[in-house]
Amino acid sequence: MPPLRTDYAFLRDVVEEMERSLPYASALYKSEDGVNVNLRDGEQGASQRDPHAGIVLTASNGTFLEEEATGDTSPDAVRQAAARLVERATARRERLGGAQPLEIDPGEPLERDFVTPVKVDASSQTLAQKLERLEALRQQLRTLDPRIIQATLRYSDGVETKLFVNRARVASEELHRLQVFLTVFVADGAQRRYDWFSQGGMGGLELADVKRETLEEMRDTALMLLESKPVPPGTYDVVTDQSVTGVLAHEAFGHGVETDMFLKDRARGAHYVGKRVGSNLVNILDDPSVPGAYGTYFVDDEGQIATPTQIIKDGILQRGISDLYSATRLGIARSANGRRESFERKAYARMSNTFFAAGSSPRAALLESLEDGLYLCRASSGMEDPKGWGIQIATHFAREYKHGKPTGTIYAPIAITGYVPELLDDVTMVADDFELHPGGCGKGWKEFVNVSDGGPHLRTRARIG
Amino acid sequence: MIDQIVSQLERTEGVDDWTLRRRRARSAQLYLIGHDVESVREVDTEEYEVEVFNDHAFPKDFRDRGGAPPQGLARGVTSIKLISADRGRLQQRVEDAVTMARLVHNPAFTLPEHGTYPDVPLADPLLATADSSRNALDAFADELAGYVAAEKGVRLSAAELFLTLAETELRNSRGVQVGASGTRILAELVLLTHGQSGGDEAEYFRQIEARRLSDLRLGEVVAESARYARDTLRAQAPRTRVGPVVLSGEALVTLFEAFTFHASARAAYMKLVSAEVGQGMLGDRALKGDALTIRSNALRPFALGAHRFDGDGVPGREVTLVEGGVLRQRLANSRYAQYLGIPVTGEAGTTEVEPGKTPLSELLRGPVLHVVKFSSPEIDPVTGDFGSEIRLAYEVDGESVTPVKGGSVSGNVFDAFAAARFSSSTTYQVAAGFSAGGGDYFGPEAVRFESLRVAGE
Repeated sequence: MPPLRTDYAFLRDVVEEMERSLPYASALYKSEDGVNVNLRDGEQGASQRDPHAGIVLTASNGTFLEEEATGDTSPDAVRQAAARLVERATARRERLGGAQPLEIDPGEPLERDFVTPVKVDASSQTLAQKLERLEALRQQLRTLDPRIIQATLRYSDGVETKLFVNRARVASEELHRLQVFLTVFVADGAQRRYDWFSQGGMGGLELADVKRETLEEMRDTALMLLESKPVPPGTYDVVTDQSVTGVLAHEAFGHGVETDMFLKDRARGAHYVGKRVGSNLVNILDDPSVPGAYGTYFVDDEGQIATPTQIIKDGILQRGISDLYSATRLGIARSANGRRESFERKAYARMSNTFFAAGSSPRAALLESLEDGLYLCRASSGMEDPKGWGIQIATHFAREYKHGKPTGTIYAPIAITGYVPELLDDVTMVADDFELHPGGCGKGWKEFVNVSDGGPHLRTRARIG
Repeated sequence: MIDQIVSQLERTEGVDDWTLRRRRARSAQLYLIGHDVESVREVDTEEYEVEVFNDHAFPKDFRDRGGAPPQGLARGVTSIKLISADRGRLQQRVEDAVTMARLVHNPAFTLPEHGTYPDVPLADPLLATADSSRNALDAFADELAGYVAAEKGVRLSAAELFLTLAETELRNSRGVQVGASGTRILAELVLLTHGQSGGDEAEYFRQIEARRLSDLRLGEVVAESARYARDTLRAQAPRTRVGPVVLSGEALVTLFEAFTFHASARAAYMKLVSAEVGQGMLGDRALKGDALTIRSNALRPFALGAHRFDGDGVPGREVTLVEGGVLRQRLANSRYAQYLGIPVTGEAGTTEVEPGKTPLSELLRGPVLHVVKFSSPEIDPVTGDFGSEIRLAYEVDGESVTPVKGGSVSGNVFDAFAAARFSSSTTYQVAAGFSAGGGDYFGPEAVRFESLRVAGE
């Protein structure tokens, strides 16, 4: 049994005590610890990752959920927080008088402990060893070309621990997450351009290895961008690289099917379950159980065990991804997507690893099919519009293709906009390659959680500006 | 606990300097779906961020940013966060921090000493206690319901309100000991509207932040959001062209991030920007419009960017960064000011931009596209390139004003500001995604750019 289970064994008693007065209660301990490293020319930084340890107590007052969160995880402090929560939830329960009853299913009985498999444990190397290894990597990039003016490296490793307790379940998990983020800046007179590379997931130091070819590709891209020009606005046949495909999945039918948005009438997708929303080549999943991916976990923040959710199958919308409250209110089966930024924040329906499933076409065939189009590369951001089904994706650059060959013309930056069903309906080829990219995801402009997205190369049609 | 930490820092070998920031916060949170409560939360946190500095010899093979062997001692710095669970292991945590600081090497710099700190008001007295915050949550829900009910054809999809009272204290090994109390309010509103046939619906999402409840201007925000929601419902796609575009409100603010980045000492030290103090911010582009003047102001009462002291303990102040289009001073915290040999300004406050002399009505003389909201304003602060999806804009042509959405507006900030005119009217905005200073802006309500790319139908 992991130490977490014994250290916080008192949480079972706290939950039991709260349920003497209230119909449902749960407790979640959540903590995060690890190391951040920042390296650039002449400067170095190392710091402990924000340790965000705390406990959140959740209780149903019969109509909605009330919570009390505390950074003081001692038994006394938690019992006091529980007493405060019971007092205010009970008072509110009396005032509400059973309006819109909320009946929460605590789930099947379960007692499980999970740990991320790791090849080379990050804690097996000292900080000095990590710094030496990372600075060598940064120097390898920095010295590739005299036009490089700066190379920066950000590294983080960490362990996230979680213990969820309700009357039926006790589940703990220990996640080992690691990420390396490299940026190279080049100059040509007053003009600066750059490129970046990010790699990460669940695991250990094996994820910090970056191939020399990757560094050379970053250099080449940054130098190539010195010659880039603005794209003529218009609608183009396009091939999306795996990062752009991922952001498309994430923004279009990731955010668009978070079931708390169904409850708020903010998602048009709620009216399209069982209906066609894309070509029959479109298959989108959210899967927190993908081994080693950056958005992977074993149990969500509301005690649900991670399993894949098929969101779109052969172009037909199947279902959404849920948190506890919205699934209960909507009367639908829960998925393991109730996630919090930290113990300080509420759980919402959130993505984990969201992606297009791979197809059967060779990647080269997609690019060769571009008679007059663009190859869209290196997604940098995206924004959802679940109600209007609009979408915005920013990419670092695009390569012009004519007659299936690159012309050498580079356009940057690129803003992709469009109407999601049209974009997905225009998917005519799906490559047989597959890649997931690490990233962060907010709900609106806050509530950030670790996720990944990706998939294969896609061929579609998009409005570009 | 703070005295225990200070005592530990003072007696730990290898701690050559330290900075300690304590933050104690209590937050009350309300979540509504429609007008029904989804959740009510209360959060209590106390944390200590400690920076530990260690001076040591540079390794033999270390090179400064110019590629030369560095002079003098290296300064290692690391930061750790301490929470209540660390109370019994402070010695271990601080010693671990020293070990980390010994391993990283930076050019030397000193910490600021105690200064004269301004009395800038930061806290709403109406949120002084847990009870008053709880009452404010209830009052917010009631007021919001009233304002939404007054808007025809509009209903509330969801709302969130966070009320946070935070006390901060900063001490360092050079004698700084200063504290402040501040409040921060974040509200999110989503309004829905439907067409006359009842079929199609459109939403308008609005995030507002302030230090005082009264600054939320809830009634005005609901009325404006309702109008925008109704206009979104009947909006068409814009026309593709290159031409004049007016950006206003939150659609405008993010563009200034490129200028604050190019004015920053840190970016200059990293060689990521080329403009020098005394040079124009637009390079060799000919100015055909209003010249830009930008200040960073930490003293604007109740502004989100306002602060008594920054993260190093430097007193808040008002600084002119760009004047008449010329870079006058870099925004420099204590460390980068010393690295570049320039005056310390402290960290950024509210971004303030000098208004122009042109009335908004004149800027909107058509044909022109007037953008009021982007989906997600995106700007590359290094290159100045920007491009965003239009969430709501208006095609203005004489008396005709037609709402549009979809498509995008793109360009380069430095090119765009070479031919820009600023409105004489001003606004205070806290723009989502604007990362300069406190994320807030005071300046022209709108700016007209003569030549931006619009991708549409």
